[in-house]
Amino acid sequence: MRQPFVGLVLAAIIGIVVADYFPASTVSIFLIVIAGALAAWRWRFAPLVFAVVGATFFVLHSARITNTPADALAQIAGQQPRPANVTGIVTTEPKIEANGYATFLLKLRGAKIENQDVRTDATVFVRWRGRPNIGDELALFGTFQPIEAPRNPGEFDMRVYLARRDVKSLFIVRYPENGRILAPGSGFSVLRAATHSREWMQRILSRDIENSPDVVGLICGTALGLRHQTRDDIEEPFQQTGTLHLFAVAGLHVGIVARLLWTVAMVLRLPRKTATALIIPLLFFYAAITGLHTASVRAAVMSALLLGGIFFDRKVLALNSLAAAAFLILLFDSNQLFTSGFQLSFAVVGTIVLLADPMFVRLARIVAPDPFIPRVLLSRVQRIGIGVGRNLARGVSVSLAAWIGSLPLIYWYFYLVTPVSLVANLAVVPIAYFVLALAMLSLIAAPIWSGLSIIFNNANWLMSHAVLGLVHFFALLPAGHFYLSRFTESHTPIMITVLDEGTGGAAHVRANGYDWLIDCGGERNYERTLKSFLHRRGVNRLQGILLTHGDAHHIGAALETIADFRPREIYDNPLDARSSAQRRFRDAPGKPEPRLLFRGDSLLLGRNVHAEILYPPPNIKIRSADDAPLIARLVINEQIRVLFESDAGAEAEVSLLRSGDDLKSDILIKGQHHSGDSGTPEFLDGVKPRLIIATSRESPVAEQITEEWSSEIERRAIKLLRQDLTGAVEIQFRGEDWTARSYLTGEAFRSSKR
Amino acid sequence: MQIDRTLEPLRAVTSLFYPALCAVCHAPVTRGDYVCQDCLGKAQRIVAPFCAKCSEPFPGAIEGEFTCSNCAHRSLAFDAAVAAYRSRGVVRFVILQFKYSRQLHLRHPVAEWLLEAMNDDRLRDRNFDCVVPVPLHPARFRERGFNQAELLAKILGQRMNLTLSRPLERTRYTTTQTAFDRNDRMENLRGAFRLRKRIGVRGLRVLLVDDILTTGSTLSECARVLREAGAQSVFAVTAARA
Ligand SMILES: [Zn+2]
Ligand SMILES: [Zn+2]
Repeated sequence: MRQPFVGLVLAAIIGIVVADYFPASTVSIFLIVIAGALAAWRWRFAPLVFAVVGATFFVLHSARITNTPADALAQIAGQQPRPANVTGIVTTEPKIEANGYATFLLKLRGAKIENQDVRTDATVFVRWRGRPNIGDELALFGTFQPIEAPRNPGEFDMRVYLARRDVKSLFIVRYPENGRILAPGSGFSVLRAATHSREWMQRILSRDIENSPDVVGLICGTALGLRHQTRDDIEEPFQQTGTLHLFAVAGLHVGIVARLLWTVAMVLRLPRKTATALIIPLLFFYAAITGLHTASVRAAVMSALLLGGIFFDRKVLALNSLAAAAFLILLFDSNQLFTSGFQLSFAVVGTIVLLADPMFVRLARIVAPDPFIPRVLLSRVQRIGIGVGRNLARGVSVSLAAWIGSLPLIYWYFYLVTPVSLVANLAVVPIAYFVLALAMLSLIAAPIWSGLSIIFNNANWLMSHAVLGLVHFFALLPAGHFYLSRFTESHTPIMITVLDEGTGGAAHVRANGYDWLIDCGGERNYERTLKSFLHRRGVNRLQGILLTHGDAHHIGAALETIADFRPREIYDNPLDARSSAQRRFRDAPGKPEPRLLFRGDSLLLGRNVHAEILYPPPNIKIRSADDAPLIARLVINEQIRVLFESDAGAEAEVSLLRSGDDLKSDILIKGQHHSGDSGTPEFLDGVKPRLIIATSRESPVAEQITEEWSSEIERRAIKLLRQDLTGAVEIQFRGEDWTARSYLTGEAFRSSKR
Repeated sequence: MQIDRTLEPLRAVTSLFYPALCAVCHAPVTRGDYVCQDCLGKAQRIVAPFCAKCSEPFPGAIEGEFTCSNCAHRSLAFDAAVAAYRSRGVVRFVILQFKYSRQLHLRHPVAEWLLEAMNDDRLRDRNFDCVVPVPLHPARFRERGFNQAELLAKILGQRMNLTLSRPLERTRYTTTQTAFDRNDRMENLRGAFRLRKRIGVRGLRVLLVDDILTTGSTLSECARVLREAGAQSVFAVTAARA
């Protein structure tokens, strides 16, 4: 056993994965494990040790995921919203949403659900418009709700994410006054102290540069890991250039801090063992300040083991230490294995440990000659050249190794491939080191002389601008990064995805290699829904976009979509609806001028996919945007017809029927007219669809599919997929056949009768 | 014994975090060892005949004490410089790892080689008043973080029950030695060391310690400074010799 923890952690991972699929935690298994442990101790038989470790983690993980407090609570709270009074302690840093809600995890102490006392210590996910701090004890009145699964492909799966932290209920407090803080900071004294020092540090670091929020975000993100306060759009270019790790306080930071502390200790001439004993707790405190992310805990454990080597006078094996860190983290919380943070952190460091040195040796041979040539034989310039060359080789090999390690995971989780990150890291990481160092200097100087601290802050302002500038530059490089759909996804050349945008609409049409959008949903959903979806589909650039009408829930995100996906063609409804969404879009400067479409126009979306515009005719008068949306019909493989009715109402339907066009279509995709009056019997007679995909929402009333209407559809033997139940619907076309599939339920409807 | 037994599980856990492996071949070794017996067996011992002054071995058969031609040509200030091993193969590898790769724990096997040299006839029955490490220039010390000679001298002092003394300091950051021939090296080093104020060596029998003896110039220059300060005798001991 040269690197004992490598084998141990592999055994642990196998145990956890098996337990995740087949959880079983009976007393007998537990007893077998104990017997095995005793036998392993007695006879020291290595395979038995691994078996015992694997079985131990199997039992641990089984116990962790079965019959948990959250399961018990979800059982009581049920699937319907139920009002309740609860008390509990805030266990995570509250994150403030744009709409003023604070979201955080609350470990319950007690609950009263519909006047019935419930004993529980489950943790719930809370949304409340109050301003609590971590460690506060709260009393709240609100409603329990189950956590919803994502309704569209590509959306972040909050349910799975929270389930890994054993959180299975959402608790919504509607009014700010329905909650109060009973006792500030009654739990978690260390975390509380960490939060306090972090708040102080944040004040110091943003002094005199408050009016550059991007810079403050970068500095605080880099030095303190305050990610929950930075806007997502600041982080995006970092993600696209593979440098997001700078923002997420991670291994690199803890490593740098450890080195800085070590240097300080050496300057102060502290004995090595004393220095070690001081630095290790400081590193863990730093990990706590920065929010105890897996990566920083991993780095703190590894640094502690590195320093511990001095205590025990032994060589420190990097791979063994890495495995030991993984082992300890999994022992503490086996669910970590399934988080992207854990996987990324260990994959990246693992490949650095395994690959960086061999690559460095090869690179160094190229850029710098044999280091054993006496240095005096070289001129000063040569020596500097060699020094630079070797450092460059070191940087390139670490960067390359990290890239190789992160590539598969970044691709799997974010559908993103970032060749540019190799260069970006080389350029940005050294400057980021200075940002961190200047932040430290500013913090050290602050209690002594605040003027000096402000000088450091201003120097940091400059450094941060360099980092931001570089990162934006690298993010803009063509082919520097691109999105790629998962290889496991179906790659049907022609498919339509009707997204669930609530009362709004957005549909993606893939036409033999060309990507089109028909509407793009609301502005507020854009990042979460449409953008994530297009990234998941591997869309880097749209061929075109059709904007059907001036409804904020249909075209609200048009500007964002155009900025991110640069469609080559933009088509708009010719009518002036005088809606604010349309005005915002039409008045925006610097965008390509959209072309207007009328009845009779025809577009080629891609080979075998045409769009015919059926509505509006020129010169009609309208009262509201819904009255005259662009109505387009796709003709696929020359025989399948898909009618996009958008939010058209009875008036538009009548006008379509009068026009004398053959409206017959296989699939009808419709929204709801604001009057609630659409999909009239006459219209259905004309269209004769086999499948209707329709939006539906409880409120407002007009947006909900009525009982009569749905029974009418049933009477006509038309298949109805209502999106309040199905979420997004994906239709794949093959020859004359097509299949529609609900994203939420997996229910499929096939055109062929086979 | 009792304490040892209770500590046993703790040691087992420690060796999971820090498995005991041979520094050369990475084979598992008994706890507390740093180089395996196989690798230790490959270390090349210096056997007679060798120069009485600088321990340079001589291929051939010479009976009795002799001084090599190098030592005859120049005046070395120490009485004798003793090493038990050649700085080759395993020995050289371990010492370089210790010195240049921050593998500080390897001071223990290196010190063992050093201690073997203390069994040499020239040192065995001799008494010393203090051990003195060859100093490192402060700049080099900052770069490296430690002085390998001092770490070795500390262990030697503990084992031989001698006080550690640091009367010397290095004043010049001389470039690495290997490129010069012997005389150049002596010139290059002249004035590189000096005595620290307030630390006297008058009348003392000094044992000078370094990791490797290459030509003896460094040790000789140190010995010269110590002699001029009144040291009664200066013997030098190193873990290995080129
Ligand atoms: Zn060995
Ligand atoms: Zn000689």
